[in-house]
Amino acid sequence: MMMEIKNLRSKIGDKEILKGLNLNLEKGKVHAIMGPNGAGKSTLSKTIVGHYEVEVTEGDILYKGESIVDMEPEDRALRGIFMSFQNPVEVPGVTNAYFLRTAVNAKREFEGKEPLNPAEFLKKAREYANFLGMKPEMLNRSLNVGFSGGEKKRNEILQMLMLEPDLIILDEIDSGLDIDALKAVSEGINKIKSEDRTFLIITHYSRILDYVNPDYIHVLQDGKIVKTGDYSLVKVLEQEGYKAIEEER
Amino acid sequence: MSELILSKTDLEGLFAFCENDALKAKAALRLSKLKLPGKKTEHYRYFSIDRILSKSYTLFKPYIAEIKESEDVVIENGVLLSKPKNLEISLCDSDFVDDEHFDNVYYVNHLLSKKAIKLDIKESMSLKIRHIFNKENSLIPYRIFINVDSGVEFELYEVFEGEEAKESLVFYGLDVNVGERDRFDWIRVQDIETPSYSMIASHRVFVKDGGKFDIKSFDIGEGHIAHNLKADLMRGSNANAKHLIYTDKNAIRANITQLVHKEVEVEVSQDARHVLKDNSTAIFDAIVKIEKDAKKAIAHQNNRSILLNDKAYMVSKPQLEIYTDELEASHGSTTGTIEEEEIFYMRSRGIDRKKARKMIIFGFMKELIDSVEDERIKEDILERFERIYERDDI
Repeated sequence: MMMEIKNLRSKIGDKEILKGLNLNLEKGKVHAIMGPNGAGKSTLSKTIVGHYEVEVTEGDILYKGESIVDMEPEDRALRGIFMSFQNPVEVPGVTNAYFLRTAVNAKREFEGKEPLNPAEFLKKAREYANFLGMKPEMLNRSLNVGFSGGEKKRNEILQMLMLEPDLIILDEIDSGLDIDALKAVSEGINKIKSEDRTFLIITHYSRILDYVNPDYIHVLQDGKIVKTGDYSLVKVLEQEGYKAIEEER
Repeated sequence: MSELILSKTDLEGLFAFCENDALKAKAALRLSKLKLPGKKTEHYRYFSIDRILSKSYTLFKPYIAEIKESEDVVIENGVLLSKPKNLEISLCDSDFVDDEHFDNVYYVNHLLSKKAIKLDIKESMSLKIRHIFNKENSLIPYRIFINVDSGVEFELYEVFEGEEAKESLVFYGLDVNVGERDRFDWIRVQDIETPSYSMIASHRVFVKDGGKFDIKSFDIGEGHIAHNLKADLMRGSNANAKHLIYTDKNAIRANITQLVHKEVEVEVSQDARHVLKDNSTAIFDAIVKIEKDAKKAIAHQNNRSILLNDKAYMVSKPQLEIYTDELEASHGSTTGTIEEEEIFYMRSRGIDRKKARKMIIFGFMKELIDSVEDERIKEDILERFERIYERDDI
């Protein structure tokens, strides 16, 4: 098992969002989480990566058998947990390439590997940028500064490809993407799918799922997983909405 | 008079320094109108002027040293020690006094400076001046006059060393004349690791028709330091000012400027960035004045500041004083803190908090450091910022 989430309760400020959530994420599988607005989807991803706004009040998250709830965000990242941001921040003056190389080498150092030298790094980064349809000069621009919505999402996928994480959480990676960008992002995801890697895709729409073929669909409502099924569940949700799940319960 | 407490010295006492020098007499006349600076002097309101001027100092008596040859110009306690072989440099009485400078200390400095160091720049060159202060409890006054001949490009790089000059006060400044179609690039770096000397510098730059004046100042670390700059810009000239300040501990660092459009078609651009830590204060009090006849003016001012602590204090006063109606102008100022979301974004990629914070701060400062074209100077400046940044964990 890549991750076991047990009876997880967490809050942001005074508001409890996750209310005893249980979820197992299997190694080598693509999991998708769907749910109505305000159900707690983004809070779940923030809780997994240790976002500063979120406080875990009960339960546990085991990643590769190890509890991570008290772990610093960077320690979770170094162990292979990656989350793409819905709205990646802009950092003026820090070039995309410098940021990415620092992150890649921090992970390599953690893994006891030699750092990538600038030439090796650039070769790899340019290759992936090209694969994602990004202009090479975007590597030299300040991190996310002036990037369009689509460029920011592609840049998140570029980071994912470079960091080679084991657990990948994609939080609404498909929102605001045109067809070409969606295709590029999906190809990026498919490129690193493997038996050792797990995806958790949070989305409102089925279109990205059409590209990445999820193994499991989980429905999150009011802070809990209320139903798990296969891809056919997406079609039910599309036709009948989340109300059908509520009525079923 | 070797012991001097400036706040207790009456003007008559200072006028005794005129020594029949006509230009010093001119300075004395102007000072009699401006009076000695104090806490009520507008541009020193947030600077520790009273504390500095009420101390007792030994007035350092300069001497004429045998001038040696060196790669850089070396000035120790206001005394010229060495210079490059082909540089024309001399000691002179007051060469020029601006009778409209806004700063009282400009005139005090002129009165107290025994001999000025005069540089005649007749061919394009780059020059480094090392200012060294090593006298304790001393008042060290000196000035430098620079004449840049027409058609010449002159790049000046100034650095300061003064860790041994505990409790001393330095008055210094440049009077620069930039000839027609000249270019004067001035890079000034003042990094102070431990409290030592205080400084009030008062500069005056006169830019003739079509001249270009470019200043990049980098103020780093501790100390109570004010740089007052007045620049008069004539027809078709251009001034580009960049100021980068990283302060910590109990520092008070000030850039007080008046860039004056005297005639038509002058362009001014001023960009300041401040990062303030601990109990430090930074002052950016910058006026761009556009006089009545200075039509077709372009003037842009901007200041951005990051406060790293609750007790850090930023005084940001970019000001446009406009007396004409044909111009393009803007000014703005923002002060904020580092967004936690920016740090979290980096941490979520495996970069620890300390490193993330440093990347964000240096990213903020980078644009101004990168504006230095000379790679060696740029590296030197970056090292100085790094050294002071790294001495304490944030």
